Amino acid sequence: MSTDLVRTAEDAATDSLFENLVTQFADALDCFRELAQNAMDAGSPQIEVWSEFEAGEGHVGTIALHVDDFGDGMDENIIDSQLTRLFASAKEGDLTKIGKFGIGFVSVFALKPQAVLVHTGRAGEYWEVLFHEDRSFSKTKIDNPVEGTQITIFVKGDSKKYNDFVFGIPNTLKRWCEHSETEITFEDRTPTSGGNSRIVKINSPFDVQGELAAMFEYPGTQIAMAFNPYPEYGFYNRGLTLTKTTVADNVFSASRAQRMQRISVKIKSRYLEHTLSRDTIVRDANYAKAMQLMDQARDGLIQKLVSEVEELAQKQQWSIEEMNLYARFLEFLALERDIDPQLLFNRKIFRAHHGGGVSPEELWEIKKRDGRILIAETGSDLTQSLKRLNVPVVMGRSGKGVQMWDNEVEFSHPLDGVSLLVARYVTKRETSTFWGMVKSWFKDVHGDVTAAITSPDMVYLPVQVAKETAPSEKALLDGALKCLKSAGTDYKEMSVFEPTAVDAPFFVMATELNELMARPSLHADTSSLAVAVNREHPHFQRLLELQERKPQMAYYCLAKSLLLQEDRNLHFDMEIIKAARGT
Amino acid sequence: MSDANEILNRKVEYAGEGISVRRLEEAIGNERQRQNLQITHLGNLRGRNAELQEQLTNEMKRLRDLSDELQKSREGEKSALSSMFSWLPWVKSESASHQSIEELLRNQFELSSIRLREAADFADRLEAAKVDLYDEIDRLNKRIIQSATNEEIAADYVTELRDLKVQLEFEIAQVEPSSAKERTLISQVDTTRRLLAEHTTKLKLYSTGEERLAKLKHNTRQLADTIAHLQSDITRYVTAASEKLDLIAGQIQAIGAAADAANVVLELKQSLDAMTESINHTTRFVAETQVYFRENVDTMIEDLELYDEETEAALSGNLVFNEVIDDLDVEKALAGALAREIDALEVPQEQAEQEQKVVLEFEQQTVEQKKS
Amino acid sequence: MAEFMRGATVPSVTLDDDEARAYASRMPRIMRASRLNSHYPNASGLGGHIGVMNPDVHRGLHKGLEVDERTGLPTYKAFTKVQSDAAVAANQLNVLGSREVLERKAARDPEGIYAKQLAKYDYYSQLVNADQIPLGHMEVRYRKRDNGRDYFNVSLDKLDVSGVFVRYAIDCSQVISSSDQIAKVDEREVAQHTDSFRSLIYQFTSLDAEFTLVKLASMAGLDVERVVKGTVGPFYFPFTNTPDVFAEFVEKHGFIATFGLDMAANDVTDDRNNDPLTSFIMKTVSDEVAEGYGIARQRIGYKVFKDRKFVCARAGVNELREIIKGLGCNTIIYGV
Repeated sequence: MSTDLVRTAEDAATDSLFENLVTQFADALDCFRELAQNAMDAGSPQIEVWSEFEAGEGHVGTIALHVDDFGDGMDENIIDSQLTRLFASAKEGDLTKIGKFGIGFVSVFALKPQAVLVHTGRAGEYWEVLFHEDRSFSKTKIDNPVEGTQITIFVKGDSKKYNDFVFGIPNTLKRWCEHSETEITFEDRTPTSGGNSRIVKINSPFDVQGELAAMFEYPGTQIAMAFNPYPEYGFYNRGLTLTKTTVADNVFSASRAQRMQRISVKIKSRYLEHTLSRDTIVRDANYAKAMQLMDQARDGLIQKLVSEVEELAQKQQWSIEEMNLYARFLEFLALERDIDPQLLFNRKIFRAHHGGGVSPEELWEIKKRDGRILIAETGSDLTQSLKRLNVPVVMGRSGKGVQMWDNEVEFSHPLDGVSLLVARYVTKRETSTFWGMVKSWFKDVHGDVTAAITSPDMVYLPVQVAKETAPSEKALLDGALKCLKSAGTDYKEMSVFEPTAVDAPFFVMATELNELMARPSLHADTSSLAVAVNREHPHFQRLLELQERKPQMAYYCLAKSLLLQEDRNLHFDMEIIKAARGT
Repeated sequence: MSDANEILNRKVEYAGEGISVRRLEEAIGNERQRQNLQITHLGNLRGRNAELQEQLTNEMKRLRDLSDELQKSREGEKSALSSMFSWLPWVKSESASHQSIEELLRNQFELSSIRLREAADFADRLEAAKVDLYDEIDRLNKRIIQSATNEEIAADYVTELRDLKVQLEFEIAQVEPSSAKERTLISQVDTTRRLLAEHTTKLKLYSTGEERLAKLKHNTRQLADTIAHLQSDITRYVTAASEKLDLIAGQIQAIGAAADAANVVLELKQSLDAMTESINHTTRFVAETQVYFRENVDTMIEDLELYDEETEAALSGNLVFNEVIDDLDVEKALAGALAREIDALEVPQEQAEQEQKVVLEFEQQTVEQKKS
Repeated sequence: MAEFMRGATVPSVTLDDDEARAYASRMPRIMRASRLNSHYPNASGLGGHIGVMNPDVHRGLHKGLEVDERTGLPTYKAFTKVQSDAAVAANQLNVLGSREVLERKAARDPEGIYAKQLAKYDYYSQLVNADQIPLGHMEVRYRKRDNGRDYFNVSLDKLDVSGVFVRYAIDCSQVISSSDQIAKVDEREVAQHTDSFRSLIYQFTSLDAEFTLVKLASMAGLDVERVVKGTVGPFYFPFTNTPDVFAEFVEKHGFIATFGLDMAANDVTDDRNNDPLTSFIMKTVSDEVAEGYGIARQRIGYKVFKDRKFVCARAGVNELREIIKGLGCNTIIYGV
């Protein structure tokens, strides 16, 4: 038994509205997105999109484009009240549905079809609805059971047009439905090139490209995030693409755009909606809820980053890959502005030479204790000895001119991020105390901390003082020392040392000469300093020779060299000459 | 003379990688590391065991309580059924008097199944650990044999060298002082001394190594046996418990919605009792295992630590020894090797004592010789 | 074996490895072909869950596969086994360590414990990635707030006592101020069902949709738009209790899979029953109950639709269609 029902075209006013709606979509093929969305809302487990071409007379034939779903389907009431009417959606405000406006189906008319055939069934009622070119339709009750809704769009065209569809439809579906929770396939059942039909899967996993990719799940919302220097932002509702962009400002507020500058994200949320024209997302109260979750997820990603950095920093041995990974992770950390510093103070994110991690808190303590923080690129006997003395040397490069914040910072070396982060978080630690805060009103704490970062070579000199001094050496040393003393610039003692490196300096100077001695400051009282001369240095050798002929000259030269090298008390020159002549 | 040259130029081939104080240190260190790994492994097993025990005990208590409550509700007493399930994450409210018994029963059953699955996996891990330990024993045996062989080679060579040295010294006394002959002989004595030093050290090291490895093997065997017992028993109980749980699975499905009807409560109680019993068996056993671990494994670990200290002492002794080797040490080293050879011959007790005496006298003689 | 509870056994058959292999590899394909929409339990979850019961997947770690003779689906025991394994899988993979090491050790003794550990490693690896279906899972999705009412979509998936897998879905709304709440909505618009509601629905799964609708409609402040019960099963195989009318077909074509739909809703236009199995598996209600239902239908204004779709071997589709027509129904049949 079948009922026939014919409707005429709507009146002129509605027609023009209709035209506007149909043409609002950027691309006529976008109707496949609309149909897919309807199928998802109908609870279909899969959507089968397929195409056929039947050649007619001449080049032109009939192209049939099918969209089959197995969802809820429609009964007569739904056909009359929703399918054939504009703005009659029953989904408005329903968080479990994507469609809102009730214009999805009419978008098929953008393809300028000759006819659209709909088969649908619900609760034992099965219907065939045929839309004509002028959008009038006839509706017939049928006996054969139909599950869900099967839509066939008939378009006139040649094989070229058909192939455009075969190419365009899956592309459109991929663009809009790649993360659909419903499985979508496209199949060209009559390939014009001959051969068998091929099924294209539209869905791809919901994930993002980048480092430390993580998935965060909340009720009704799923967020995939990863660090990526060239981030992409994708917004979805039940997997339907709402918008996809590389411009953070298009989808985020300015401050959030800043925070997301190096994080790729895909968010699938029931809170998100697109505008009527589908070109961007609606920023309403629900959007704000989604963004709150986005911030939570970002915190989670940062936590993950910190944990990974900490784990790497504390690894016993590093492979090259691990070192590069560490450097890259530090770079992410260095470039992330919006991190709660408290989160990092006690995390051992820096690697100390000869094993173990060091936290900003520990470095701050060390700075208070020693007045400096040591950073070195490679480990050495010196760093080993320092480790034994409980002075950790952080693996990194003691970079110059490090800014507290610099978005454009380019790291020329994998370990450049270390000194930046050390300076930043030790500063933050210092200013987190009351006195630190007060200090920051009067003083550039960050500059202070940056200045305190130095390499152990700048601080310590490894020296092996000679056990025995030859008489000629002793004479020369004593002569020079005497000169200096008479000239009023006294030194505690003067001896010779055995150079351990080819480029060992001519002089070394310290309060105490030993294997691990810190360089004295320029302002130190010289009378408290001991001096050692490089025994193998060619200059010293020449002075020894000179001493045989002109001892005073040799004494003067040695004394002068010392002052010259150390850039100290050069105004004493004349006094030294006098003293030398007097010896 | 050609004899002397042959002995002094001979390339003595030891089995394996050769030995030095550092090598031995490393080798024993490696063995020790393996042992440590095994102990860590055992520690983990132990931890897991404790965890399982706690879980199973809780499970059993819940089952028993549930069973009692069902009994009460059957007898018309006020039942506190739902409050008993308040520990379940999905039971939020104390006042949930409508909780479906079928659902509770299923949840309980599904949790019990997971516990049992874990127990079964635990038993498999024990078996794997056991196999590893027996493999370890095989490997240690090979190393012990190697060390013993090397000790023999070293002992033979050192004996030859010692005899050669006595002979050379005698010859020196006979020749013209400052003659070319004397210089050659002195040079040979020097070489002999050097070789003696070198191989005596090796002799001592191999001997130390052998002892250490044997001790290691003993401890390893103890571990392996312990684990083997546990594994076989746990497997038995897990199998029995699994069978019972399987049976109950069918009943729970069959009881179904009827579980909420009063007239099936008795049957349900019986079913639960059966389930309780099965879990009970496993729990009790795992508890006993735990006690066993506590009482025995700690001692084993202590033994191993003690062993470690002893090894360290022996090694540091060897280091000193290496620096100041004198003839006495050579003799002592040889004496030790001899004594073990005698042990190996399994001579009658009396004879052994005599031999021992001989050795001691021999030792004494050497000391006196040295003094004179 | 001793029986702890009189009569409380599930009629079941245990498949040997070859039968289990054929069965478990066929089930995911059947589930896929069935095109189950949101009224039914998750098809890929169910297919995945049964798929890992394949001896090729569990590598002989479980002996035999127990299947319910009434429904052709695995028994609760078999489902639970996979669920327990899945629950421990991730942790066990950590404990088992590297596959290379296991493989090396297993090579030394193909019958030894390491061969078993290796098999477990592979099984657990497959398991952590396999789709699973929870054996009793309830979810309340908040739809919207409108006119002083909260709208919900409630679903409960469960392996039912009758041996079929059921999704019970309810679209309903409640007055926000109602004292007898079925669910609470928090500020994030996340709905959490109350325990009593969950318990109520849990017990209804064996009953038909109409009963549930009537029962819920009597709760204060609750409006029920629709109750849908989607059922996976019974499946008929040569080893199940198959109704005579299908027996010959099953012998010839291997199996029939059936998927029932029982819907009571206020937007169903006519009472219809298109389920050919009604007379075989449904309990007929007493006249008294039927009369009660009649009154309820009038008062609450709902209608009932029952349907069932089928999956069988492609070659048998037409033959099955004729059988079903003979039973007075015209249903969807998918071939696989």
